Amino acid sequence: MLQRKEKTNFNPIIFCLLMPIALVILISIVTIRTKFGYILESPLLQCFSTIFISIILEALPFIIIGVFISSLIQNFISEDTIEKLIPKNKYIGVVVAASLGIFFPICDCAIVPVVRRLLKKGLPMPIGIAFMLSVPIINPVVLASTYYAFPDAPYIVLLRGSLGWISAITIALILDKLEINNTKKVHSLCNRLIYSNDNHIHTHIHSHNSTHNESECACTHHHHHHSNNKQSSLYSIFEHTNDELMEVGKYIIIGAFLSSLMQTFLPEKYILSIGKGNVSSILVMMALAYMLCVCSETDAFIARTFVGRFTSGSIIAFLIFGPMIDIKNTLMLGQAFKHKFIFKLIFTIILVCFSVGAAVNLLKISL
Amino acid sequence: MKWLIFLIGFTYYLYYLISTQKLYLFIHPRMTIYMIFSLIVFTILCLCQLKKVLRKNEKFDSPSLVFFLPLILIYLVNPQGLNSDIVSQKGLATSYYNSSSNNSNSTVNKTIEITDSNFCDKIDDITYNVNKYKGKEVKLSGFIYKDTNSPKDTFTVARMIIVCCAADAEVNGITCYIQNSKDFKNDEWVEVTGKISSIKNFDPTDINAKFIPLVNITSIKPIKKPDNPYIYLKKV
Repeated sequence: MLQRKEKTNFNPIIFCLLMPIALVILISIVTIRTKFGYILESPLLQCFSTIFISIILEALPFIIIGVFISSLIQNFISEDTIEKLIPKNKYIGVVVAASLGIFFPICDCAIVPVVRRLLKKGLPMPIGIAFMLSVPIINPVVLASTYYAFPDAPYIVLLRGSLGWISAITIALILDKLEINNTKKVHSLCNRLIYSNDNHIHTHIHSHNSTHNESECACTHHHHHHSNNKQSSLYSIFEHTNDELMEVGKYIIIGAFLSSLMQTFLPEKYILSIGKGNVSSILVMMALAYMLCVCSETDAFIARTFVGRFTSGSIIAFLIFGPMIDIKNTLMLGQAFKHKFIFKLIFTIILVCFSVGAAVNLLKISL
Repeated sequence: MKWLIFLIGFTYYLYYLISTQKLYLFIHPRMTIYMIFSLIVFTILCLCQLKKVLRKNEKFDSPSLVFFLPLILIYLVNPQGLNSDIVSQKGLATSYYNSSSNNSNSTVNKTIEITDSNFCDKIDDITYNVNKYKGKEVKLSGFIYKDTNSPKDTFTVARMIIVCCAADAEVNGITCYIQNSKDFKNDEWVEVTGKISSIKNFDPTDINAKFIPLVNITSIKPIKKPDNPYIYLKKV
């Protein structure tokens, strides 16, 4: 936060000063590389950075798409349109939002910026949550890849889709119940405030930038921003993309860092050896899904390798828990929601996914 | 300004990865098109940011220092892909596709050659139908991985299999037996030929199979690490 306050007043002198500094850094990089080559080439560090970079690279295009869609929404869809489109009945709204995923080929990395934007535009919380949780599971690309991963058991696609859909709705409704008091008591008018992060208070810095200031109070003063930049809308979209990428990118990098740290130093083998029982296996697989951070389009192939070694309930739990939440998504949520709310959200997701897994185990559905 | 440095650094790295095909060390080749897309977007963002930086009066947020972590890693460590250390963390995977391909020509009594394209299918087929393949000769290449559980003088000749990116890499391989296996070290690339027999399963995490295939090596020769150490799983 502190660095945000120091605003660089850019002038050529600074630039002239920076050039030699850059040169020194470049030279020092070369010397560090030759001197500490053996450390830098150590297998563990190599593994770690490979995984780290690969998670970022893999997520990058989808994040860009997500941020881009979010910028489009910011620039072209007004609060009124959203209000008109939302069904009046809350329950219908949640069900519709959860089903929309069939038409949206967005995976779990891209969905968070989009939902965040929609919520700031006035989408009610349960509807947004249902949308966010179900889209990465029931979208066509993910279902197709699930089908290819389990060619001899096509009903898994159905199982994953329907259970994911049901649990997304359940989670959204539970959260609605949990949050309803908060919403009514404190912010009866400005209920969007509960999603915003408190430490994100910014002054309006430049005309286009409407990303930061909404968090202060979402309903009062961010309407006037996007009316005056219609003429240069393409530029403003890119600028907006830039700003948002800057915000979201931070969380992706930290998330990728944690995930690769765990993958290199916390052996998957040991986690897997913790339990194969009816209950423990579900927990183990959910922990694995949380820490692996793989895209929902590929996790089916990973789940494939566990068939037979783990209970079927745990594999279903892996398949629906992974897309809903993982390390990098948690961090991205941290930017949009209050921490207390995120705890509630994650706890509910864990609870619901666990019960789904346990139910599958109880019914003895075999994969 | 910081953001501009990050953007330029990352854009250049993306360009470098794509142009030298090093990209494939990190992700599946089918993702290349997405990478080109992000390269284009990043270039545009670079230009936007440059414009903003050059416009003197405009103030902007500086991003946190977190962004320089990947840059530092990229340019200092310059990662060259996964190695067998990760295998000990991940453990060996059993199967991606079982019984997906019925090999009709397996009755032909010739050396079964395992190449990059049929690695998964063949290894799985052999693993699940040990008896069918007993006594057959097989030829494959991969890196050596010695598990702590493996009996004396055995090691696994394995390959890394990538579905989407290096984070989801799985290791698949076949156990081999040779006398004086001490001569061979982890992460060494070899090409082996040998006869298939079976051995009692020594992997406590895999409770499925009682017996797993074992290749009695008749000839082994070290090879250079291939440019592309992974096997990419086709998504049909």
